[in-house]
Amino acid sequence: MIVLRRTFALLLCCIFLFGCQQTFRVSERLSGNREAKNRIALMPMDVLLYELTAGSDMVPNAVWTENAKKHLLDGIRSNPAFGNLELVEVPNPPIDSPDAKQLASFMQLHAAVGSAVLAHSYVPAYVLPTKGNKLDWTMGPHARNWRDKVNARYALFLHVEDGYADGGRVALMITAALLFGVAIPGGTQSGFASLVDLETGDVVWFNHIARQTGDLRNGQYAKESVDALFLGFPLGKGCVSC
Amino acid sequence: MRYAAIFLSCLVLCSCTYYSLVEGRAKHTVNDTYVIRTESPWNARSLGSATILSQHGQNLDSLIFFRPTADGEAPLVINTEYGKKMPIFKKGTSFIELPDLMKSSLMAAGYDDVLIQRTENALMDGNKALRVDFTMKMRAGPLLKGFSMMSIKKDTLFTVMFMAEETTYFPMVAKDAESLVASVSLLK
Amino acid sequence: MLKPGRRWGPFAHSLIALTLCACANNSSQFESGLRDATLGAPVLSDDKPASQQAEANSADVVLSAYGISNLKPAERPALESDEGGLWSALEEHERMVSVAGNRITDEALNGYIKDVVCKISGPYCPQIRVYVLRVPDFNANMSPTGKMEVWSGLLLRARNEAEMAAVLGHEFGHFLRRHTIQTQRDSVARGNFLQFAAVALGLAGAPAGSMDMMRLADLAGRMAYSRDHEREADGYGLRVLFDNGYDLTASPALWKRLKEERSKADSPDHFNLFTASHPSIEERAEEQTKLTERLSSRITSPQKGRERYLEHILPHRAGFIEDEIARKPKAAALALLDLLIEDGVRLGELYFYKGEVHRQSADKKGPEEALKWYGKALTSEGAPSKLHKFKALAHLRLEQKAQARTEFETYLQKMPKAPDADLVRSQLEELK
Repeated sequence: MIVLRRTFALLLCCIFLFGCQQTFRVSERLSGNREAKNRIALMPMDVLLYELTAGSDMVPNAVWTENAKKHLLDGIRSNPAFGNLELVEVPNPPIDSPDAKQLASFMQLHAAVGSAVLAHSYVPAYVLPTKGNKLDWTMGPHARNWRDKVNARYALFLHVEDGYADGGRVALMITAALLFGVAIPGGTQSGFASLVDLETGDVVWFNHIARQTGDLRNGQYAKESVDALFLGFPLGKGCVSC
Repeated sequence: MRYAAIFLSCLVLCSCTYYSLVEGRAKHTVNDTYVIRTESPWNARSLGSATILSQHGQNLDSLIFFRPTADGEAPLVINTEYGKKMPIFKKGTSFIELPDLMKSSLMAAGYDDVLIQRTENALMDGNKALRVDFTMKMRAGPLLKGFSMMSIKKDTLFTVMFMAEETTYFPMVAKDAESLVASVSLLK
Repeated sequence: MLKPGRRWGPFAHSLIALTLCACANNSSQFESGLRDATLGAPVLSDDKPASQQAEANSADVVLSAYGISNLKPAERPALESDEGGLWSALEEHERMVSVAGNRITDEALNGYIKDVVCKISGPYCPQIRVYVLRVPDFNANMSPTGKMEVWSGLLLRARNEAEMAAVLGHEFGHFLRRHTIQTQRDSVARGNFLQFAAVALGLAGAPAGSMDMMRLADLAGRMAYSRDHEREADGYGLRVLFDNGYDLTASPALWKRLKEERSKADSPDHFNLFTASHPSIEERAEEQTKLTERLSSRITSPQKGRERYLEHILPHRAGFIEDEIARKPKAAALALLDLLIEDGVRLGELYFYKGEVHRQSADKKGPEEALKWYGKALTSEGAPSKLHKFKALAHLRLEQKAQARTEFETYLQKMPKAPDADLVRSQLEELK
């Protein structure tokens, strides 16, 4: 996962540098009734919050990470886009159990597809001429097994990383700026969300964030990040800008 | 990885070459060597001395045209781990050695569990060729399935290889890849 | 981890190092709180001549220095702690290792290694999860969460259970002492210092190059920290051998052979202050011999566990060797095979692979050399049937068509259903 996480970090950083206007994509193959009470399975979230030290070490922070997961979940539930939807969390089975391996394989496939979407749909140098900005990727017919397993029509995948300068780094940033006029970056918030139709396996909605603002440590500010991440979420009555 | 290192790698990554469109139902020349006829459209980019065609992204499906390999050169030029040199192609190599040459090249490039599923005599532009079907794994990532077509002409080895994620993307793209490979004629 | 390799630096870097199966660790003083303070640092004191210490007393010093009962590994740390953060990240990582493409899933092999791990880890067994991975390098590693990776390169090189247990015991030592979190803390402290030093030097108008010196000093410090951890883990490796009645000479024997393999493979283990995250192999072999001498009198019938080890490893050996040959330079592959041949188990298989290294090499004499080894393999136990195909190929290279034909025919007789049988048949037609 860490290798993948590095891939994601690289791609999201590219997108940040060469930023594009519209962050979300909706597939032409999206079907389903927006009025219906659709069930969405939230796959185990891949979230990491870390402290960025003066020496540029990334120190993971478990409390922040756990809180961020809670805030994300709350934020999704209270998001108007999810108004009439039912969100069920898919739990992470014990490490190395048969269930865990099955889930990890599915997550691995999604990671491959997700990084293809990130790379080829958002990084200008990598955009595929045959697809352009179209969201046109799938997890294949095997996704249907998961529809029965999680008893939901859709699966939602979340990957979020968020770094915060610690006291030392803030001091360094100020010192460097005052004395030398050099800007040392603080943390970056980046991530993506993807919605898969388990009936067809198609990725029907995808969005990403890559920015130097936002705070997932605190519930009040987290809502703003969640709203940014779920921009254009196409299901549910409350869907805006879709 | 240091934060700054991610930032730098990203600058490098972003300065890579762009993909170009390979239109469907048309004739194209790849790598100044292979003339192909497409059914569906593809995306192409060059990577080192090879040209990669893909429909959904290189990590999900890729059809690789390697540059013609002369005596003493490595046929599949990919960076290797462990400082091992890639196996080389020697003048006088018989067809029967090709599956092992391909397998050891892929292993040297870092793929695991490379399994040759089937080998079969075939033709490439009327020349005797060999088709090898295989599966292989990566440390992190889904199982890959693929086939390669190799032919030797005037002591030079020509290799085209297709590989894709096994469960979804191989079944989706293999047919197009097969018809494209069957259409190959050689300029050299 | 055992092998000289990358330093355990910042968190993400370290995790990548783990994933890529590189090696990790380092630190400069042992932190209090992680072990019983009354014991002090687990370093043996050599200031008194051995003659002044009774033999038994000396062994007790070793055993108490590497005491286990007073340690508390694998206890889930508080979420609030830096260690808590490291744990969650490592657990995420482990979920992916469990489906890694190079994981060996064979039940018999996994069961056997897990049994040995349980034996040496005693009460901690239920907290340890073993992952056997195909990686052609001599190594294993363990995280504080209880994830233990065992690499095929280690299984191939160890000659008996005691040798494997010595390495796994070493990793268990890192786990017991929670070295990973100590390393992270050290790295953060050093990184911060360096960054502020940069600003201070800039302020003071220090000449260009002073920062490079600071960086070198920083790196050297990190390496020294790592070496202390490795030495400490070596001590625990020996301790668990002792507790389980294994032959204590296993550990120094393994180190000596590793050194021999490296020097033959043209990659000598240079000692370098700025790059070595591990003590030199010489130093470790020497240190281990010293400790071994103090303890061995206490073991009455030392166990090597060779038979049961070979019974489980041999079925996988050919695959492990193929990985090494495919990924290592010729000299390194030959050095490894020579050491395996010295051990003398199933020589036909080993001679065959020696022939393969020569046949695949770019050397003009390759085919001739290969034929010599294939011949030797055929008169020894365990030569694989596929040898005949490769022997035929070597003959073909030398334009010896008649011999090539015979070998192809033997190959088809022995392996009529080989995936390339049709190909061989058509090759035979051409030869006729």
